Amino acid sequence: MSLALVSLFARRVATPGALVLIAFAAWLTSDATSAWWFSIAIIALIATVRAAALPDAWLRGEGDWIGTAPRPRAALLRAAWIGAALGTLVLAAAATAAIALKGAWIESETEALLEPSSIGGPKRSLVLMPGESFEQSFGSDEGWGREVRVRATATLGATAPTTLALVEAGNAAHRINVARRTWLSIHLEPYASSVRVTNVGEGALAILGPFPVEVWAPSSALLRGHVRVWAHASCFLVALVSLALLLGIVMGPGVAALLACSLWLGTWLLVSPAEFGTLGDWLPGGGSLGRALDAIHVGRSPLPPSMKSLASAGALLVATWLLGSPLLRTWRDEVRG
Amino acid sequence: MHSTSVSVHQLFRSFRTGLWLSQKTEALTNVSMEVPAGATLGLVGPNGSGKSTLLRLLAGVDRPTSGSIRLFGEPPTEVSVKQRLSFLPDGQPFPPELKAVDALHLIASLKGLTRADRRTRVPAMLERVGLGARGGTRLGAFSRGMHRRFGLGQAFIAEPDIVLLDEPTAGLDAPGFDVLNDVLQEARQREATVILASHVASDLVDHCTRLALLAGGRLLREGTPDELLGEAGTVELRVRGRDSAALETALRGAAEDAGGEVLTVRSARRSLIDLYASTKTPGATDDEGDKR
Repeated sequence: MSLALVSLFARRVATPGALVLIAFAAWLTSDATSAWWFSIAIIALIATVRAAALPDAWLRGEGDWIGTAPRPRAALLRAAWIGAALGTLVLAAAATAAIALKGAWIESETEALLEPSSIGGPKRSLVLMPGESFEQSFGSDEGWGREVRVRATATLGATAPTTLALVEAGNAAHRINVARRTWLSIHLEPYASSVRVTNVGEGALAILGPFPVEVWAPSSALLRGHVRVWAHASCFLVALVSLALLLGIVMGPGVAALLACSLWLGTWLLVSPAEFGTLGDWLPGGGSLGRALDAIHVGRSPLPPSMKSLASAGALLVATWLLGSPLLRTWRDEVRG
Repeated sequence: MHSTSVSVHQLFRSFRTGLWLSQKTEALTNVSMEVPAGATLGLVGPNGSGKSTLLRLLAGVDRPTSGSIRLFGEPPTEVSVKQRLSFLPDGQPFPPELKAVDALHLIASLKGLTRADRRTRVPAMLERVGLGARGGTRLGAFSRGMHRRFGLGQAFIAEPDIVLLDEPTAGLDAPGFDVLNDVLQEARQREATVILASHVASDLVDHCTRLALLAGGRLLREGTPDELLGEAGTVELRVRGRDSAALETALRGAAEDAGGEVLTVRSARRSLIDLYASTKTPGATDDEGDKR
């Protein structure tokens, strides 16, 4: 594999103009979560179109010198895929740097950052009538600074009675008035290993599934979790760009980029409904990216991407690369040229 | 070692074009030819005659609809064949965002030259094609003629056994023609097989040992330049003397005595290349005015 060729393709995806645009947009956006959403959308747009334009350039004439190189076609295609992926990672890194720098510049936060250490509970929502309790156990830990939270909401009756929840964990307890969808949270003492929620009000209380109980522990994530969001975003973007590159072999770059995004969106709509729980996590850019951005939104660190998310992105990259070789029958397309 | 370096047998290439690919265009129809090793073949013909398509098929970047191509007995898509082949495509397909020196390093590395070889050959080749001072310029800023020079440089950097040149003279200025002459002479000395295509036959005739005339995708005629372009019973003389009027009178008389008829008489002219070489200023090696 030629590193120079990989570098050329990476430069075509991560052009200086695109880097400046992404850094500028990330810097200008009001908060970190919005900056991430905005950056991911811009990178997806730029990188997919540019990746899909790589084979288009080959078929319009560039293949005349690439195709005569004494290298197997699969090796040349692999260079293109790796180059496009590298360029995408660089674009996402530019966004990460801009967002993290802006955060450090404005907020200068010093409090400990939390990250999810376990997520559990029932898959389906359940309703607690006055006097009823819900209890969920989780792993104990000797450290300080942990927090548990339970997703809940008030269920409105005809008279809209007051809903009051008593949250207990270890020796700690406190009451929370529930008027809408909210997190019932409480700090955990060392060795606390369960949380109990009791409906002590007059109205019904719903514990919202799937997996409503989250335990958060102090995090040592780099750049207040932004590096982990970069990993989530990169996993999604590399998969999308890989698909666009494959489609670019058989259609124009604009249509290929649009179709790649549409295919991803269709898959996301299929696997994202709540009843599937974390089933959609295998989809790069699916539920796990959403949770990562939610975590950033509440000033916490997300978990790194799951192995299944990384594996599916890698599998998509390899599959599209393997399919690309037979699809690219020639290095020249007279119909396009 | 094959005595025939290029063998083409009953080659057809057609394209589907138009709305819903409903129209069929025959780019090449039943082309067969053999090119001996060390020969220089000129493909001539009008625009759209199939010259570029034939060269792309020989270079292995396109596939024939039917028929076979063998270079040194192997299909052109084989890596072992590509190691011995170079192609100068028509147009300006080289990466415009790269500097000339970087682009030549890239292509040389793809052709398998070691880093040590590239360090010596790349600057030397840029000098040879007259781009030594332009190595740091992006290819996107090159004029058409400079692109051709770069193309010649990349085609000859790995000392290939088969060189395919598509419109090598397009946009070349007089010093550019010198570059072309130089690299072709070097190829002949190495006994490399060269196939050139041009729609201007006069650009090629001096370089070629054989000519092939293509039109409408068909190979109409093939032979030596004298066989195809010579006029039977007609000779041209270039004679130098002190008094051109006396020379003309003497030659007319000699021609009539031999039963011949004088068709044209004119004073001999230098070529534009000779004129340029005798008047150019030092360092004027590029063709800045020839920007596309």
